[in-house]
Parts: sequence; structure tokens; C-alpha cells
Amino acid sequence: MTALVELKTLDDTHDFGRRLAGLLRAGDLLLLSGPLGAGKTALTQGIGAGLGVRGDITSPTFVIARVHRPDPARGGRVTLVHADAYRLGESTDPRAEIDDLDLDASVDEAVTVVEWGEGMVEQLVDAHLRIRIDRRDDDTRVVSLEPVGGDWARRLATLD
Amino acid sequence: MVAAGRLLWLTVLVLVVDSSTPAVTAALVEVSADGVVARAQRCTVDARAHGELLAPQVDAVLADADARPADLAAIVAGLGPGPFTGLRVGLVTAATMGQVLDVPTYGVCSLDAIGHPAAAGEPVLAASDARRREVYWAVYDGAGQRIAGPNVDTPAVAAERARELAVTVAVGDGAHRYADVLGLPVRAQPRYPAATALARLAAERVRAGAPGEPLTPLYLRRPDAVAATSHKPVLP
Repeated sequence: MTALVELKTLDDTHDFGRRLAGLLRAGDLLLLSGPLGAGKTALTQGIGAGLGVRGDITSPTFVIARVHRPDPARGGRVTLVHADAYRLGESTDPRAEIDDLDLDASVDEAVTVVEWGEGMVEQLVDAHLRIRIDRRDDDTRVVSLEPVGGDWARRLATLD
Repeated sequence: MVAAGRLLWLTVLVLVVDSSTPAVTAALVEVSADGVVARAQRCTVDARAHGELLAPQVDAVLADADARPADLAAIVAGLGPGPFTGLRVGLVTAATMGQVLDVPTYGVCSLDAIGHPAAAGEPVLAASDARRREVYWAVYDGAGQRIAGPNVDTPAVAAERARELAVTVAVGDGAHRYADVLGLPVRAQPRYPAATALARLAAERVRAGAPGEPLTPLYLRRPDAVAATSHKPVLP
């Protein structure tokens, strides 16, 4: 069942990412979707800050996948894998390219965030969280969070 | 929309069907983050018309709620136990709609929708009519958890097991029919699986977006028809 969150500013988006990070643990898969500029990377930056990982989080469009190790000095415990399937979607069998990325090697030990990954990476784990970000005319963002299996619904319910 | 950053859970529309008893049931319920609310319901008691009644009732509850099949987020079906002919109507209807609409289907033991709501602090025997002078039965503890069954037995055997489990009250159509044999006070309601109870028992799966389940009927009995063990001569 889907939950909606309204985010008015970029700071709100970062902040929401940080709160969301509080629910995350190794093995989680998050699928981000939404138009270009909606704030997928901004949300991931917030998640990265909340998880306390190293390195600047930027849009991974041109590097496809980036691994951010935890920074113990910032309380980091778990690795964040940030991937972008945007370019992969153009090939005839994007799932084979996802396999080439070897995400399944790290998915159990890391939090994996995949942008544009719907229909391509669900096979990596049984349960995942779908996050869609839309921008409204007044520039606020509406984030829809859809739990798919596992205990996502229960975890999200603790977010407020 | 609520204050920035607060979660607002959307409600979803769920179709509930049960054809495990003479009460052919279709209902539309709204599942929210904290509960289940009935939007429309049709129930007709007729042990011989499941096939004729169920689909029009599904149509009717959708019309009552001014909804279309495409609005459904999930389908919940009572898995029985129940007699072959009626039970399969509900499960095939639910499975077909689930497949066509591409929404998950979730199964609930139909007796749970009688015994769970009836168990208010004391152990209860839930029974439905299995024909052939037998009942489908299960026992629930005071919190509504099933602790025995579902099984199909004579009322005397069900009564014996219920006594062993310290049951103090019986509920369901089967309990009404065989009240004298069971020797237990019979609660009037619910007599048949309640649609909202079925939905409540599946609500957590609906909320979690759990993977849909194949709807395997709880027939509990072997079919009467058996494969021939020897060839019958076709010539005199």
C-alpha cells in the first residue's frame, strides 16, 4: 500500500533521505523513479548522509554504479551502492547488463539504491521499496513510497 | 496533503469473495493503514447456485461502490474448507480476476473468518456444514488464533476434540446444525465467513505489498471419482 510524502524544498528532500536512512539495513533494495531533475540523486544524498558513507554522491548516470563505503567516524555501518540503469534501458536485454554490473554480489551486504531500475533489478531480492518522485508546478515534490513484500510497510510506519 | 515530510498512507480497494459455504459472498472493502472498512457487500444463502450468483454479486458490489475492476488493488478469497462444487467457483473467480487485472490474490482459511471474530477471550469451535453428516471444523484460542484444524469429521469427533481443548462455545452454520451432538452453547453470529473478517485477516499482506499467493482450495476430502485401476471391457 502506497504512502505519500510532500517535500517543499531541497533541504526537505535531504532531510527525508536522512530519516529514511534510519530504517535501512544491509540487504535493502530501493528503486527510484521520476522524471529528470525530480530529486532522485538529492534523495540519495540524504540517504548517504544518514548512513554516514564516504564520498560525494552525484548522479551516477555516466558511471552506472558507485560504491560508498561506510565512514566509521560518521557512525557509518553499511555500504551504499548507488546505481543508475538509465543507459542500460536502451539495450535489448537490460537485465543481462544488470547482471554484468554484479550488483547481486554486494546486494546482501549493502543498501542498494537503483535509479531507473524498475523492471530490471527486482530479481535481485524478494522485497524492495519503490520510490517515485514527482515535481508539481509549484516546485514541491511528492514522493510515493510503495512497499513490495518483506517488512517495508511496517518499517515505513515507524517513520513518523 | 499533510505537513511536509509526514507520511500520508493511501487507502486501497480490495475485493473479497467466499464460496465455501451456502452463503455466496462478495464484498468490496477499503484497506487503510489502520483498518478495514466495508464499502459494499452481497451475500446470498443458496447451496446450489454459487456459479450463477457469485459473478453478478461481484458486479453488484462494484456498482454499489461506483468502482471499476481496474480500481482493485488486491483480491482476498476464502480458501475453504468447503464442498468441491461451490468452493471452486470463488477461487476460480478470484484467480481469474487477479490474473486479468494483474493484482495479487491472497487466501484466508474460511473458518478463520468465523472463529477469529467469535473468539472473545474464550476458546471457540468454528464449524461449517460439510454435508454427508460431517462438519468442517477448527478450534481457536481466546485471542482468535487457530490451534486445531481445519479438519473434516463427524460432529461427534469434532465435539470430542473441542472438549480436549477446553472449548466452551461453538459458532458457525455447522454448529447450529449439530448443536445437539456438539453439546456446546452456540453463538448466533457469525454464522458464515464474514467478508470484513476475511479482509482483516489478509490486511497485513495487502499493506505490505506481499507477493500474491496461488489460491489452493482446502477440500480436505479425497475426490469421490477415482482413476480406474483395471480396464473395463467395452465388448460383451
